[in-house]
Amino acid sequence: MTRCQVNGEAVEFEVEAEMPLLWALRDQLGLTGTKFGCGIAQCGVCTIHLNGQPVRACVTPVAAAEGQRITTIEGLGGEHPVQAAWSALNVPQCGYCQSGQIMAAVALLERVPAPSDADIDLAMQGYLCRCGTYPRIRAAIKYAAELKAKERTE
Amino acid sequence: MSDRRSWQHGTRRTFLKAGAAGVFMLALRAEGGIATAYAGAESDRTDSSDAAGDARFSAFLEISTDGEIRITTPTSELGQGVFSNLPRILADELDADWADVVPVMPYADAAFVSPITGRHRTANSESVAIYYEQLRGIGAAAREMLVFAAATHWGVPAAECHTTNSRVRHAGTGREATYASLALAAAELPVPEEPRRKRPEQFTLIGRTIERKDVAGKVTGQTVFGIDVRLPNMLFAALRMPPTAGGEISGFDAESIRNMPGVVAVTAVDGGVAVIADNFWRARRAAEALSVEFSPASASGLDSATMRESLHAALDDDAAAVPFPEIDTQNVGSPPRPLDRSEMEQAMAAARQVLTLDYEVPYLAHLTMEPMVCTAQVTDETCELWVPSQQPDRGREAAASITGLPLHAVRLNITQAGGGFGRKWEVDFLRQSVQAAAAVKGRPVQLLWTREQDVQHDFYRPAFATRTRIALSDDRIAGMHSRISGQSIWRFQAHPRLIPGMADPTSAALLIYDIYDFPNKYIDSVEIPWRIPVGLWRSVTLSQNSFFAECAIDEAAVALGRDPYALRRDMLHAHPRIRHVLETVAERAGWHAPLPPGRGRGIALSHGFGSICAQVVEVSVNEDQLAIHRITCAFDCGRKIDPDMVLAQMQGGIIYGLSAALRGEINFRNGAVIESNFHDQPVLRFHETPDIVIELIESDAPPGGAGEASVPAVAPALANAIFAASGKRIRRLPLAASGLRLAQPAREQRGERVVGARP
Ligand code: FES
Ligand code: FES
Repeated sequence: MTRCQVNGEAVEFEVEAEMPLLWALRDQLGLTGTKFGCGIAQCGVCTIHLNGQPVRACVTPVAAAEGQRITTIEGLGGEHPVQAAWSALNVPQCGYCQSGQIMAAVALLERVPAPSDADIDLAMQGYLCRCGTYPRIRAAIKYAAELKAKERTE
Repeated sequence: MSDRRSWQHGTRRTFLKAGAAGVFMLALRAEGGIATAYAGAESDRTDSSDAAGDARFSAFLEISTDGEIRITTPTSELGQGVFSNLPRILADELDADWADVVPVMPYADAAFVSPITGRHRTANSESVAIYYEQLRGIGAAAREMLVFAAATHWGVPAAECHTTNSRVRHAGTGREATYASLALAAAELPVPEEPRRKRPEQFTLIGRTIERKDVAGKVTGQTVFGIDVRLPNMLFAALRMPPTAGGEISGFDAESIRNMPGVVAVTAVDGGVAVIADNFWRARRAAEALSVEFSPASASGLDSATMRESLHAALDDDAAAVPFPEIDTQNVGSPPRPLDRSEMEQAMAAARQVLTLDYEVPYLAHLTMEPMVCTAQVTDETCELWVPSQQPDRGREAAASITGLPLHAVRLNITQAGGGFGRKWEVDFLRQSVQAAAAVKGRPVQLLWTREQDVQHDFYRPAFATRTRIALSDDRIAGMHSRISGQSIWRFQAHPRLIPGMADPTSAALLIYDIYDFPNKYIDSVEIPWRIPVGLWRSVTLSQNSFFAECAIDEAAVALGRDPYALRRDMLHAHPRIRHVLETVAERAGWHAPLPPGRGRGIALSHGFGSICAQVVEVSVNEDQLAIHRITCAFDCGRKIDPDMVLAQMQGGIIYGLSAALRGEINFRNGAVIESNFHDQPVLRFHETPDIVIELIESDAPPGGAGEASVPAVAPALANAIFAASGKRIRRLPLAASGLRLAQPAREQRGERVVGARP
């Protein structure tokens, strides 16, 4: 059994220690916002935060979460500046990759409040989108940075 | 069966039921052809699970007494925007307040069969084009019914009432009523045969960028994709599949995994074995451990290197070539191509110069971000499915035939799809999930593929080779013969419209563009009888033929000493609308502006899906380093339902096409696909994506398609740009095969390229 915190709540995973967190979150907790795309850390659609750091849930065993803090897309609350920017610019097409994109962008903006194009390129290159929303993701990250800056000054 | 929408609007639905006011379910009584069309065809549903308090105007439209206007989108949301865009067409004619509209995903039903295609499907970028008039009619008819209900109630002439924001008003008496309060009475009225529709200038929702109803769910993780369906008592299935494309498993030993944790059942399905367990990870582990035997497949023995040789050798096989005489239906008025080669051959014989160009493209996988997935529940009396499918009608028929149940006992719910691109047209995974669910009757089973299975068991865009002979006179093209070799998609699908002695249009159509005015065009095709599963890949025929056709024009222009843009423009004098798109992109891209050495621009055009797309790509080539500076695109799709969504589709299509042009290829070794996941079949990544500039052309023409329209032109525009920059002709895709490597694009134009997006 693995004990951890998921989106602020204490959780016990009653699954094999080597099961990837992705399946524990989706199939045991029903947190289906985190997606499956490749299973080998190539696409980023399964991205969650482990103690605030973006990690790929498809290759992170449940055991690694013992005593840790997990945040999934459901834990962002819906009104996070990154989500607001994504909505304002109509970023999603099919939307399947967007949970991972958003979790990556949230982590980037925590680290770099006003990222340059180069910062964004570096942070986002591991997150695939087959619908081709990359140009809007770039714009939305910049807009989210503005929204966050506004929040700070208010 | 489950409530028809509970799985997609769970909480809201419960609330609605609890708070429902009236207790009526009103079926529409449509009479006469027109009325039926405006109401939508009759539903073939036998279950009546509608909540109390819903006035049902048609399968497309229900208005609840608490004011929710529920509009079912007939086609499947794949990322192309129909979830918002189709309901909006109806809502505009209805004068609904957009805030009241709740789009609903469709289910397989006769009511959603398009009167134009006779099908219930999502394909061909046709959703808006084929449902536009029908949805307008339904909205307009319902609006008149609501007006009539109000006018009758108030005792005033209907003609004196008007509607806005989900309300009917009568100016003379100052009375006003909400649609919610009128809906139950209105839905009982006869459907008007010829409701008055708006003039385009009266549209309030069509043609604007308004709130998209799917975005909130997609940025919060709440959207229910196929993989996210969760039902009580649900089990999960993983597959064991053979190594060979299109292969089968001949035997397996269920006992070998019977004791693995969570395993519930093991059963044979089409093309594999399904292992059913209490979660997907356990199912997958057990499937991988299962001991199986494979039977030899028809693709066994096929290797990519020898397949390429065969494709090229087939181009010499005159006796096997069948002509493609069909008139291009998208360009009415263009002359039919001849069945007879003689005039073309005379033009070749008389030519000052004949160019002979050999080109080729590889097999391509779709790589939807969401792997194949379907959830099914089978009982002795019913079968219900939840599936991201592009073919609800055929999927439902397949489920009926597998279970032996009558069609009306099969309920097929369409979920949001994590991409489609033509892959979810196929019903292979849907069949497998019904077969798996039948092994554990009563319990829902979600069957999910791995990415490796998705890459290795796709229905690929076929590889093709072409030979194009171009007869040149002093200053123009005097004739063109283009021959294509490859597998026939229609043959693989056993398509009823495949005619012996005539080339499969999915191979041969538009191999030479009809729109260009030059004489003596002749297309033929040599079919290769391999049995590798092939299918529809975003933009289908044009995905390869735009590359072949537009590179050929470029090579002809160079041989003639003409500017490739000017030559095209001159050959488009009979098509001013198309020519305008070409002129627009040239202007926007600064076609004539001088460039430093090593830098070049390429241009290409494609017309399909009722739309016209032209692109200019600007690149630098430095030895083996390719830098793409900018892609400029001009697009005319007629009337746009939402310009912002059209922009999104243009960006997405260009990126999809560019990804394939650069690195898309599926290779075979002894009939098995070599590639397996994104590490060895890479797709375009964020940092590699160049700046994309899009110009949308204003038009009142009937709405055309946007979902596929920008895919085809990017590969030829890129190849032509590389030639302009370096003198190196790219005659084979992907570019990776030519040894060119993508350098990180220099971001010259800072900032957002999304014209028209909010804020
Ligand atoms: S599913 Fe985890 S990175 Fe692709
Ligand atoms: S929005 Fe469809 S994969 Fe990114």
